[in-house]
Amino acid sequence: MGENGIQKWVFYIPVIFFVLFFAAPIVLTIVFSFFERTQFWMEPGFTLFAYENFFTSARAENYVFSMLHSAAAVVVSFIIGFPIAVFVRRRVAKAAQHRVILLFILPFMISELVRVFAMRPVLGRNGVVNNFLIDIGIINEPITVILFSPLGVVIGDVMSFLPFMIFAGFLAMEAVQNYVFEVCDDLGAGPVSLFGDIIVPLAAPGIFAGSVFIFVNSMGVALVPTLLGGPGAVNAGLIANQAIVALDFPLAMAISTIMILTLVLLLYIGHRLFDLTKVLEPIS
Amino acid sequence: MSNRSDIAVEVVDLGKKYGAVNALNAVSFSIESGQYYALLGPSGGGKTTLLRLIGGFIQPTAGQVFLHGQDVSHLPPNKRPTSMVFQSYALFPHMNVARNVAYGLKLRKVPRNEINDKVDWMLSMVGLEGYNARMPHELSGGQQQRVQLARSLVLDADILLLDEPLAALDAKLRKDMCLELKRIQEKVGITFIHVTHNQEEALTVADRIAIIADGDLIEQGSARDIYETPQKRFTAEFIGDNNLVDGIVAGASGERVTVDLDYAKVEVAAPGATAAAGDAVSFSVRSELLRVIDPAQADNGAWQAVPATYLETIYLGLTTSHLMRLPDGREIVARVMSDEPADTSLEAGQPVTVGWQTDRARLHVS
Repeated sequence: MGENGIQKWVFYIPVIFFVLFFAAPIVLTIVFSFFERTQFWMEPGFTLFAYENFFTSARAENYVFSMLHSAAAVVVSFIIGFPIAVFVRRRVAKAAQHRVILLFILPFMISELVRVFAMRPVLGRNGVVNNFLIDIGIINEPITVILFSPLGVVIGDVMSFLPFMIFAGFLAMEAVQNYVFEVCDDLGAGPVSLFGDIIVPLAAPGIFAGSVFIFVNSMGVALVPTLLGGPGAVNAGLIANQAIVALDFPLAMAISTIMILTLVLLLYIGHRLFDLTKVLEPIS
Repeated sequence: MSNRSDIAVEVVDLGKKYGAVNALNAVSFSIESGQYYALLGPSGGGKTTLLRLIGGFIQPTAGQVFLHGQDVSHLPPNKRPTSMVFQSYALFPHMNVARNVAYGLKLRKVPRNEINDKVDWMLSMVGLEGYNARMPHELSGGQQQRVQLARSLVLDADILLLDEPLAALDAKLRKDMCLELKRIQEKVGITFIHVTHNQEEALTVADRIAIIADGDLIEQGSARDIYETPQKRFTAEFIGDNNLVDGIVAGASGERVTVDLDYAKVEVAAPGATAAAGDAVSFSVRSELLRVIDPAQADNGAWQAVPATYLETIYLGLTTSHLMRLPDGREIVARVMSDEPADTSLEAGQPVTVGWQTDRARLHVS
């Protein structure tokens, strides 16, 4: 009947949306990466020129560095963000937990452009950090390594994507039953054993999920290295961006394809290790 | 003076307040070493609070806990000679059976081969030989509780705390596990303190039972004492299938008091009880000791009788209940074995005489 028809469409609409605006562009991206470059666009064909160009230039090297920077951002986010998740789960009253976590959503509500750009006066040569360190006499000369540098990009990535680790970590911690902590008290597990033997293994799927979000964004969001990076401090997104600006579309598509493959490989490894279907189901 | 070393647990004026709410009021009692002790009572009565205070999971707001004579009132759980078995299937979900059992030993830095031997031995003790590599989610509820038991026992704690360990199991399994717990306790010979709201469970496992309600220790005694001769009205109401009757003491003579029920006067044995004329008292008779009798039977003083109105017969399989109403409106039950020859002429609304042997009624002054 009519209502049945509408109900059916309600479920088809997102399918159509994703096929049209996600699957199709991805397929086209891969296809275009093998096209021939023309002066302002490209033409159908099959050539590995774009890939050859990528792997024989400094881009491949930059891409690897981008992966390393992103991995560093993941590690720093884990060190800063995961304890917050554990703390909120363990020490904040149950009724207040979600409100406290909400506090970490608020930075997300400010445009990322604004947030990242606002770090420049903090990290810059005459910025807050340098002035403070000079004032208290720890350094004499301003540190320049924290802005327009790989370190600046890592700091920017952590600032931008830290909430992913806090959310995913908290969700994972929320699924850990209270008794687990009581048993550990009873058995006499100290903080190190509790963290290493119990909390991290139980929260591993969530930690991995948060890590993937951070890694992918650190690799792909060109904004952060554009504003905070410098020579050699680029990410994969910015490399692809530069290819587009240079009107080398097959190259941009090839870089995107490589990013997609990197992500798929990462998810595959993660799935084999942690069974990602468990990320959304409470541990029982 | 009892020898302190024979006392595993001594609790002195132990109390716990949550804000203005008293979860436990100044409770005092002691448990001998090697006893199977049950804390029995309705939900929210304070028995789990008491267990958690003994285990050190919460801190008392008053009083002290002594374990083997040592004041442990403010020590954390792992610094006490206790180990806890939790109500939920509290296994580490990411560790297999052997690693769950071994974890406490690993924290104590016990050598690996010694750990393996102990784990194997303990798993065979709880009847899970060869289950080492199973994951918790592959086990039934009863098996998970056995693993918890093994995890606690393997640490050589000499006081095991069990917080409603069988509450999540179905009735049949609970029965089997009761006997199993009892068997294991006898084998290892350590003190078990078992919290439950299920009287059958408590009667099955325990050497001694303490009735806990409204934050107070109502009374304690052997399983048989608690069932057959409860001192307090609450205990009689809570345990077994008792008929409670309220009245006023009309007079006392020797070991008996006469209780005036308005519609009848009955004599109740009162050994050592301090009930004076005019006191409001109650007495209880277990339903299986109540009978529909011939009024003449009560004449010699060995039986007591009251008038009642017959209501209905309820067949319960093993037993059959005869429901009756006393003149004051209270319903009472006489329970007989179903295969006993019965008077089938009883009809609803028919006046009957209900009686019991005089020494079977228990007087409750509080």
